[in-house]
Amino acid sequence: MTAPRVIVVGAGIAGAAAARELARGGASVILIEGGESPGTHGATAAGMGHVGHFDGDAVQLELCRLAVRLWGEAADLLPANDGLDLMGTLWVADDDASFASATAKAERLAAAGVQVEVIDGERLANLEPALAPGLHGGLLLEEDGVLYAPAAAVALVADAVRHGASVRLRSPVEKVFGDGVLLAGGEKIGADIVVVASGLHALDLIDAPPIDVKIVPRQGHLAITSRGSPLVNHQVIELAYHDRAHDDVGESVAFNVMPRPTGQVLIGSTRSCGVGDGVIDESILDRMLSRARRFLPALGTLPILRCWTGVRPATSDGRPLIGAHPHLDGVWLCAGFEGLGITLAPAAARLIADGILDREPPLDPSPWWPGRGSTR
Amino acid sequence: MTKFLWDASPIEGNGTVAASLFDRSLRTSPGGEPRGIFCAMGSCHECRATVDGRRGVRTCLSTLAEGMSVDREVSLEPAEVGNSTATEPQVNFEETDLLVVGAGPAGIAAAVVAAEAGIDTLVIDEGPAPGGRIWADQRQPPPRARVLIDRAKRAGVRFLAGATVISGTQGSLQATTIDGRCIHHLDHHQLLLATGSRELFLPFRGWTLPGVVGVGALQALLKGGLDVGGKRVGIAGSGPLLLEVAALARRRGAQVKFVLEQAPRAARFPLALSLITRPGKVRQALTILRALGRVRVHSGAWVTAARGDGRLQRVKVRTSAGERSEEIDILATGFGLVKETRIARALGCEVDGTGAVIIDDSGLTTVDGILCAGEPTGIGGVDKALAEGSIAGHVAAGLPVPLPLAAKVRRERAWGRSLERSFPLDERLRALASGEVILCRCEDVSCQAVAEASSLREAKLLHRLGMGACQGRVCFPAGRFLHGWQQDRVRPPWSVTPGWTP
Repeated sequence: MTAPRVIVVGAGIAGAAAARELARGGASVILIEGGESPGTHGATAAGMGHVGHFDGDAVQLELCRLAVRLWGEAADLLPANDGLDLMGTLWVADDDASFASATAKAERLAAAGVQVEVIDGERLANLEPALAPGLHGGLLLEEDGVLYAPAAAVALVADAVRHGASVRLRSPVEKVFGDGVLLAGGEKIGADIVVVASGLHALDLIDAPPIDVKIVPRQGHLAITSRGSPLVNHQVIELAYHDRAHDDVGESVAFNVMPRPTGQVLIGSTRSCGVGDGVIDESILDRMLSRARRFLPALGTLPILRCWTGVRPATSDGRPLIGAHPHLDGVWLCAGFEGLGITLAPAAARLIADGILDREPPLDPSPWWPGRGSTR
Repeated sequence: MTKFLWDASPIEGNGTVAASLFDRSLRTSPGGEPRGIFCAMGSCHECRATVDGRRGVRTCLSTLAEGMSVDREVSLEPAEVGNSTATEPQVNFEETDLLVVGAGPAGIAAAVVAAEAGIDTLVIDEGPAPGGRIWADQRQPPPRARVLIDRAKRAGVRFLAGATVISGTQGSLQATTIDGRCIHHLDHHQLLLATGSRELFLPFRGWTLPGVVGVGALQALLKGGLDVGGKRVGIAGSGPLLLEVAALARRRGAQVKFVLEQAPRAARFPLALSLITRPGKVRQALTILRALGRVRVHSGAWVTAARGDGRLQRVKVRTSAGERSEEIDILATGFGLVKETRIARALGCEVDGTGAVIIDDSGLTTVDGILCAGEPTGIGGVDKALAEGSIAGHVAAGLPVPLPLAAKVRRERAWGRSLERSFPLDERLRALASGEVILCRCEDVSCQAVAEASSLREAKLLHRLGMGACQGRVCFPAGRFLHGWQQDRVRPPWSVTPGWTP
């Protein structure tokens, strides 16, 4: 079989990873990006950059596990000063109820082979002396890490180019067909296969009847402090994050901080379902910062430097779209990762490349297929 | 003299905290370079320090107080910070009919007119006292400034000094004091943005050394009483301020070794001609020229490098006569003015291709209920600011604008434009900003790191340009000259100060 000619639409983290994986697998890849550089637009440019084991359900955890392993294998590609930092995640509880949920979570993680440790309040205080006194403890996931996604996307694209991929920047794609794409300028580029990895608007580009699953915006806010102290040694998230973070309607706020190599603290997180206008909402930002200070009082000693918003491409059934489009031959989807795009990018890329290049996938790809019926 | 503690050692000073620490390095940059006071007007954030336990205080805007404790900022490990908390700031609510941001000539002129017409008026400014950068002379404000400020006070204008607007929406803005001790919620019906300008700085080798300061910075420091007796001072950059500051430095006993104007002499002939119709400005110019004495003023000349071991010791100077080295203690540099439009842009006011806030004849911006006056609408100096401010005051008070005032604004705007045309930036200055020369002082991003970046966004996200405490106030305008990068979006906080929560 001759090498298939594959167009990847979008050089965010998902498209960058897919282009790299396909190029490494021998495909003839053209990566097309509307912006001036990989990694500087969309959710890739706005997110926190966690690479971790998130156990929304068993298949999600399995995919995360593959992804974290693949990030580890790709770590050498990333810039030395801001690469993959395996600092670990600390899930913390501020009351008995959420601490109780820690045990069940630990069992699920351990059963999936994730290294996890239940820690009490005293050990938590030792691990993270800047956290508020009196927290009930939590979970430590030592294999988790963080990275800086824009730089990671650039690094993945550079590796794709080393493996023969070509890159077209400043070339917004207007329409995706089964045999190629139409650029905004009117130019048509042909291909055997098109992988659409353009996030929020991925489905709108495709010249095909709609699929059951929709991609919907879920806006978030982040803030970063001035340099001064990283305050924490691990990424720290409240255990109630999942309850708070994944309601389908309305908005939610959860405590989530991450130390940056610059000695700054990145502070999250908020979710506003259905919102994607990019406008800062000072009231939800206020709630986010107040909640962060409740867990990490020392945040008040560092001036806030910058606040911004980003839009997560969420899906109507809570799972990303990874696989062949059910109604249009030759078109594949790699989009809709909500807040897990950075973590899942290499795993999704592997499943896409395995599918296109007819290789054996490392896990069952069917839960992610875009042709699945809506489960809700 | 006021006694205070610098890094726990008792010392004495006068005026602002930063001015009192002029001879010292105030902080270490991320790349390990020593840094000292630079812009002296709250823009560059190089002078930030921990003041009485609060991190991130701009010491150039902080007046020294007896027993104040000022500490160099160091990076702390999580264990060193522990679960310490900052003292919660005091919260203060103010309501006013007209809120004026900026207590310079434009802001005060507007406040006088509005308040005398019975409008409740509050003026907020980062500086420690009303007057703006131009009248920031605590010991001896010019007579017309004193008259105007007194009139404003008599008319009941309230001044909120030492506070900076950081977030909010039209109708309700939030501000914090420079020391972060107090948060002000400022509810208002009408808003006038009279935010003035800051200096344009262009990078060259060594411009980050302590001892290299802005031209406006040296002016402010001299007015604040900095002792330059016997010091060797060089002044290089562009614009009419160079001569004014050179004259002031000389009057204060400095040896002014050179004044270098980058623009060619020929570019200023039309300006010199137009002076014929401006007797006031001719008098001003003659006073300055007399004070300059025998100081050599070179045109088409600039500093190509500053050198020194931890502090400025000598500069390399390029004039029509070639390159030479000169030993100096202080170099003042600045390449004209940048309109301070951050708050206007954050509130949605449109700007034109030159970056000026667009206003109509009554000073109204493109956002209903927001007025703008002075330098943000176009660099033009104090007379333009006074006239535009006065118009805005009339409009805010619902009074008809006197016709002579409108004519004056037109005249002063034209003068401002011819002034800008008279100091065109030499393309060759771009070549100085290359290689390892720092472009972003906050994050130590070099010129070469972003040389290939195709947009400001890419320079920011992939190279950290403008990601530090000054939020791009210094490097974005330089990047505009060097690379043609457009202005960035403004997001809260509009200024980095301690004690902020939205």
